[in-house]
Amino acid sequence: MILSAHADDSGSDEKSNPPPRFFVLGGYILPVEEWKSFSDAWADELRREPAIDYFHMADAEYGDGPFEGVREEFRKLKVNELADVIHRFKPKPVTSHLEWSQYASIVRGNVDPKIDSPYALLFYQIIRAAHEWQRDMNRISPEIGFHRVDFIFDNQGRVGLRAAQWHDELRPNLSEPHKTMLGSPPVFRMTKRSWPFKQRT
Amino acid sequence: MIAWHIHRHLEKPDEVRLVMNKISVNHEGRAFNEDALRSYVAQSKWIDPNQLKDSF
Repeated sequence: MILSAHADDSGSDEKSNPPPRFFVLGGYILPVEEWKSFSDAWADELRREPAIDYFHMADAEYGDGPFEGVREEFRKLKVNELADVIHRFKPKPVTSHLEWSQYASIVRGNVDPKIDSPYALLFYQIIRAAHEWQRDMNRISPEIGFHRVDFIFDNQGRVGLRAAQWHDELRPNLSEPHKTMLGSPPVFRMTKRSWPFKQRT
Repeated sequence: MIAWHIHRHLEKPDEVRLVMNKISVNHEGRAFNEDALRSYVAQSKWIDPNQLKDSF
């Protein structure tokens, strides 16, 4: 069995107005085969009225993007029904976060520019959380075993390339069971319409 | 959806968001706190700059 994790971020733009206090990276883990069913259920829900092309939580909250002109109660209804899809499939939610002010005062400018990236820190925390989750499960039921986890993140441009490169360098230095659990190099999707949280068809 | 809602919860902890009960079952969250950040800076001093020269 191969597990797959789909993750995105919130609060990554510290220059937005108002500036975010926190930066969060988070996503869900499911077996690869289950993501297919999840994706179908998600697309079915997108097709229901008020139908939208794709879902982005900030758009739903503020009435932007595909939610432009949609009344608040209908936006809330859509969020609730998409949340039902998540609840039905019960993917494992993993998140990591940091406080921007702490990052700025402690890390920024105090490490090599190539590793001066809050995204990279959170990126590895998410991978670590996925590994520790499996270790916890194996302590309770060793027959579960350890499984590879492939990560798919929102596009992060250069910092994503950097994170992928570090991922490659990490593997030879890992011991088991982490080596087994470390998946393929992370994929950075170019669009928020990416599978499995895809657009309706 | 989970990143946005956790972010919102951290920014506005008093706000009630009902979907959290549906989307965060068995949620595992990690805070990279002040101590962890200091430790990161301390450990980074041990990295050989040559290791980083070929990276992006």
